[in-house]
Amino acid sequence: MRLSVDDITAFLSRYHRMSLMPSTDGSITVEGWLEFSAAPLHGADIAEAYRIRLGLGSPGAQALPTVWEIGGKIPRTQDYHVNPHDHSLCLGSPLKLALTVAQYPSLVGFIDKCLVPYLYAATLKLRGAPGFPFGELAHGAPGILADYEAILGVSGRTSVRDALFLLTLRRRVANKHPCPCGCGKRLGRCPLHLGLNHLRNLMPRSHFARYLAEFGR
Amino acid sequence: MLSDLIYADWGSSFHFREPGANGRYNMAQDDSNEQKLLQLVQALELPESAYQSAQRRYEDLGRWFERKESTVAGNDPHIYVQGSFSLGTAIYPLLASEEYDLDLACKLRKGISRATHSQEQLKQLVGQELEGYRQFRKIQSDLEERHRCWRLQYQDDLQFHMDVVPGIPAEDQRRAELSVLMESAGVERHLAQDVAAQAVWITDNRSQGYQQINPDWLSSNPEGYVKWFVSRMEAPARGLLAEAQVDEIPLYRRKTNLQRSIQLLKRHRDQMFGSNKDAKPVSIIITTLAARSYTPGQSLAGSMKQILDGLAAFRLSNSDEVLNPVNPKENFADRWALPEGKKLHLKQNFQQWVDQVAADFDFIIGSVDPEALSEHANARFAVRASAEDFTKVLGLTGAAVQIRTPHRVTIESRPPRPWSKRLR
Repeated sequence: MRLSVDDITAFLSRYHRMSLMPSTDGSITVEGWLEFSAAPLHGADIAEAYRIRLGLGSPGAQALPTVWEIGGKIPRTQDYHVNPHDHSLCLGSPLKLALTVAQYPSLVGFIDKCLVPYLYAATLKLRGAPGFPFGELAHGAPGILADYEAILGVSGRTSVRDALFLLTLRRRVANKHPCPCGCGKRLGRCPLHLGLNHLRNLMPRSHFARYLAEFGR
Repeated sequence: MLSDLIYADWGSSFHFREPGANGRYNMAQDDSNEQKLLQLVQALELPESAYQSAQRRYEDLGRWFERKESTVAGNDPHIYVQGSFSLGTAIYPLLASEEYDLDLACKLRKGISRATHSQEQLKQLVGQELEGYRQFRKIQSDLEERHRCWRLQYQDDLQFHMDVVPGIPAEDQRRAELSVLMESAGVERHLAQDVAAQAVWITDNRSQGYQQINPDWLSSNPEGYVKWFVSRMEAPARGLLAEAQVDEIPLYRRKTNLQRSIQLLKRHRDQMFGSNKDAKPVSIIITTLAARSYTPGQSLAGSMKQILDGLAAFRLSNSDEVLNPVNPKENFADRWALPEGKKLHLKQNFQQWVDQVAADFDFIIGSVDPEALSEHANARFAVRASAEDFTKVLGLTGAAVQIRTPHRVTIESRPPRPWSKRLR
């Protein structure tokens, strides 16, 4: 996502306990208390606040924010999905985060749709819940595979690669290829093509190439 | 008369604020916004005694320079205040342990010119007398030479240091040149000439020809800047009529909403850049942009809004220039483009400060939650105002107090599932 000035000011307005920090290296950092009140559609309200740092990259840069919890409430362990190398929070798989942000293309959108659900879940976990209420992924490659299977509606590594490849192609060209779900038909004849069309509408085709390249490794 | 300056023109529209629950703008809310901001300003404003103390010091210094035995007695020395003390925009330092800057100028009005003296000679002449003063007043710390001034630490009831900038008056030709430059930049002729008459040449020990006799001195005009600032502070008609009185009432006593707004902005800046002072937006830029945007006759909230709109427009234009209104060839933001300025990301930090101060002002104006206001005052302006203080402010003015809960987020089905890279 490319952040505009309006994005940042709208965010500062909504989450007024967060503020811009002086920049020492040209990147934009926001810190403070992220205070939220949230609930899933059928679930309990939770109101909480965490001390958060957001790394927004250089002005005009196009990357997802990096998030750290700096108040010491969230254990820096992998079962809280805190990245071991830099202690940033891992809020989801790269593709899922990109798709979410494509649907809600603002900083407030990222916070509301990617960070708040994580903090809600982490709060429940801190209070004794066994896992993450909205689900969680295994670490590393197996986690990505499981997530992409769910997003794309296919099963197995090869099918995921094929589906990602088809997302880099134009709709009409892709629909002539064999369906990656393994049904034997052309993609255009399988209901899967509707799901892939929907995904293709969210992001430019070239972006899917990135996930294909990452996934192929 | 002072009270006129506190609550001016209620008729101006506060279009940036949402109407109350009944859908109409609310006089009580206008008043409470004013009071919220005054809570902050009152905590920043220096007491009368601080200004009087500063005045005693520079008058004392002036007498020393004028005394019979002074090496510059024959040069018609004039010691005067410049900077925030001359504009009435000085504020308490952020930390009790920090010092005030008392910026002074020492103008030698006779017998010294660029044709007869080097910059170094003028600097040393003034420095010599300052050293004499230091010994006479038994000031402990050494006289410190800086690029354009001499610094004298003063141990008194308040922690001051005085920066004394030596200078000589600009000649007629230079004054005419400056006057024309200002007029081309839109300054009214009479004011331009008045301002140009105060221009001086100052020294900088980094300049190439510092030790030789040459014309490459730095141009400066602190007294002229004050005149320009006053012209921005006063309504045009009032300005002309009140000219005779201008010198009688010191600026710091006049407390217009321009000065108060600048005080708020400076404190916000100090707090935001407390841990990174080298990169902070400089006061002269804040003051100049504020004075440019301001028109008299509004409430404090209205003035702040107007000034913040001006800052926002400057920020969005991505400009690299804040021209000195009394010397349009000088760019106060010239450091931004230099390697040192780029390394400190001065321009970006300025823009980020503008974004943040606007958001913080909007929050204060829009909030009716005393706890949140208290926290904000402390976190963003380093002002200790309690929730009770704000409750009183809101209560007295009839505005409803509301404890706001954070904006509610509904978590839709299938949010992203947390993941992390594997430990290698």
